[in-house]
Amino acid sequence: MLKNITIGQFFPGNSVIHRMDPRTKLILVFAFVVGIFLVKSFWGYLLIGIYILFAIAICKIPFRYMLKGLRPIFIIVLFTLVLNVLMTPGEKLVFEWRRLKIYEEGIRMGFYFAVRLILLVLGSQILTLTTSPLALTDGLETLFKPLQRIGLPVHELAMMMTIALRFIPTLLNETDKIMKAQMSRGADFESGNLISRAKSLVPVMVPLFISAFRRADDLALAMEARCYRGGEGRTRMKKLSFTSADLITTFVFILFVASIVMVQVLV
Amino acid sequence: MSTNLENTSLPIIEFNKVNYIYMEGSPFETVALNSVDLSIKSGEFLGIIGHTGSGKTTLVQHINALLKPKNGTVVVKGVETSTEKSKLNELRKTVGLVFQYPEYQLFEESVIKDISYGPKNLGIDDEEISRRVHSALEHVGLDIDEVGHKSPFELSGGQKRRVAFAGVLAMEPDILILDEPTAGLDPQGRKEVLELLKRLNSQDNMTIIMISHYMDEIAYVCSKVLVLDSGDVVMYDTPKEVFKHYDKLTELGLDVPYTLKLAEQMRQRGVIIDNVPLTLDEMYNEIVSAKEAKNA
Amino acid sequence: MKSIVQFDNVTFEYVNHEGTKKRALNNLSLDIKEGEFVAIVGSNGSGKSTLAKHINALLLPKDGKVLVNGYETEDDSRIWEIRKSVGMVFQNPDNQIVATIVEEDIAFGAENLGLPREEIIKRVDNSLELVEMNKYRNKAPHMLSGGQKQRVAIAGVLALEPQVIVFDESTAMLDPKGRKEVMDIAQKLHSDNRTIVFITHFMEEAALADRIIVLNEGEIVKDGKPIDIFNDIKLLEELSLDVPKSILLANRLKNAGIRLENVLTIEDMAEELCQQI
Repeated sequence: MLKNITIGQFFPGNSVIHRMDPRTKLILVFAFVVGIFLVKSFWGYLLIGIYILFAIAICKIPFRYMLKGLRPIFIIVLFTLVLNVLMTPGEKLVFEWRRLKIYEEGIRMGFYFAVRLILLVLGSQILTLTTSPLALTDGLETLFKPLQRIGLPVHELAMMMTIALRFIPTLLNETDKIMKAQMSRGADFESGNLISRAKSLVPVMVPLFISAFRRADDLALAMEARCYRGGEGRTRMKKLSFTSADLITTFVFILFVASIVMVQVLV
Repeated sequence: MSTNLENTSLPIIEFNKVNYIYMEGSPFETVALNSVDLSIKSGEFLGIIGHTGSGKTTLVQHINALLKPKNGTVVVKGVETSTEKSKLNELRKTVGLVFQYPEYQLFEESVIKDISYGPKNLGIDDEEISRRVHSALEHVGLDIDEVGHKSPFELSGGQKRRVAFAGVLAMEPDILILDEPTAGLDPQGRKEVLELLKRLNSQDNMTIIMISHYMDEIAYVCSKVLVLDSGDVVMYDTPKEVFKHYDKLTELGLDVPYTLKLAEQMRQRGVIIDNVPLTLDEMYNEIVSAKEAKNA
Repeated sequence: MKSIVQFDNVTFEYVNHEGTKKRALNNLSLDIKEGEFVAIVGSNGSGKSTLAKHINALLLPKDGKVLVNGYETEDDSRIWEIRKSVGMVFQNPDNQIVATIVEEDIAFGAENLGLPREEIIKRVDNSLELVEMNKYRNKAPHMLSGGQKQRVAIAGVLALEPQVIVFDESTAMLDPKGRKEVMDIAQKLHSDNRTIVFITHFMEEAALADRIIVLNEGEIVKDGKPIDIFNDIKLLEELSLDVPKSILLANRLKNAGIRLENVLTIEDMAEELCQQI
């Protein structure tokens, strides 16, 4: 069961967005995230919303998958909305009950915050759903490579990420096995209050940690035996290269940005 | 174990048309158990063999209710495994399950504490727990004064495994299930584990179920052998009866005990060994009689 | 024949949990020739794994020296040369695989050497071919069986094109099918003129070697052809090692007047038996 969890919810496919170089996607998503905070008008957000839906349609990922990603932040969105609506002071009073005062500014603020959060998550989901964890790591490593000159251990960090990704399914499997073994010795992970449930996990966490350390030891030895000595002098088999997909998408993205700027200025 | 006793004793474990499906509804859906019927008597030493993925581990996990059947029922000592939680605690007392490489599940600060974990979970009082820890360590051949207060992580691989066994034995189960108990052990270690299991079965009357890939071990200790293939029960009989079917077992991708491999090679060269020799002694006798027969 | 691995009075010590100094290798000397298939057997704690790790300089001797192709393992400037010539396959199939897909992991070693892309791709293709795992090149390692994972590990080692391949109990955690897969590849590699050092406690695996070295408490107690080692039943039992069943049976049959010479494999045993009956 646990074997088949894909990390970062990667959803394989063959759309234009899937085929893009991960670097382009990373840069565009970054620009997108920054851009969202610069947009301050209703029409701006509406346009972004339409473009996001457009992108979702292109990457051919079922909408319900996208909605799944929104589930974890649902509470936060609701909380932000309510907080802003109730707490923001302003001039145009819209509703009053005893000491509770709701202003138009508050409603607008709340709405904008909520929409921003939703658009942010949807936008980054497009990245994680269309890019394999491996491609993401490669993309990040290549993008940040220049920073190695100022001492940032880019290669090492990328290597750590790859190894972590490689071992997550293995460790999940092991967790399952350990839990079953302890359950066979009468362990109960389900009943009791929060504290007793946390305590009951010790017989799972300790062996898991010890096993993880042992794996790390073994792996380090195996890597050294295969002549690993850090990033210096290493070459790569896979090479990232830009294709027409990247060109077209970037071009379209620039058009989107231009249109939003216009809307902000004109409306 | 006399045949008379076998005839009159009721089954301690029963599988009735048990189906189990992994990852139902997903593209990875697999039928792990296919309408399995099984009846295991008390005091049996059952060996389960089958290729990797044949359903062995799935099957044994139904016996202590870690898994519940999709269809059909599993009844252990009269208790159906799909019942409510309270009955399941009884089940955990009755059925001990030792997974592969059980030493990877040790976690406590000391050997004594780790072995006490199981009995503690069953709500047993401290005095009784202490008695059980002593008894379990004795069973597995470890000196409580020597290792009792040591951290399990200081011990050798073989010792760790014995501590893991002791942890399950301390729960004093009626039924002991072991998944490849000798995996990864050196010859000495394997011998000791088998002798322990033999003792538990013959002296303490424990019903033992052992999954193994080592056919010689199965032939040595088991009273019954269950052969699984892709979720189906292919054979369920005494070792002699099961290992008779050299061709069928080879077809299923399974190994056979050494003596039968030798008998097959001899058969291919024109010398037929009639009876099914499982031990070297039996093989010796067979070869000697074959020679005498030829000379006569 | 040229010596490829030499141990010259090697001693290695470590400190155990109780703080006592233990000798894992005690004044051990050994000479492995190019192209040999050497099996190293011994019970747990005999020093097998320690010995293995000295061959590729993962461990360095306290006294004495280890030479690979004439270079000392303690020579810092030669260490990568040595690790290129001596590949090692470890016991735990999982804990050797570093990448998220098979072909990436096989490339890992070649990438470490800084080889050009085309060369890396060529080596990955060749290695996958040799271990017959081409179908799985894009699979994630956690979806493979134990035997398949070890094959990936072997391919990963082959990408460095080593002359010597050390199998450090590589079959200990595998089922019989997996063990056979690894054994078959070891033999294939040997017939390809590579030197194989195979560490095991399974006698039927040691039987496939040209030469068996028996280790006990860090010392070599016997070194010879498989048939000579197996016939020393007394020694094997003393060291709690498996005596091949054929040997035990052949020994007993002497009492019945049946003398058997070549009993290394079951086929040989059956052949001789049938001739005598």
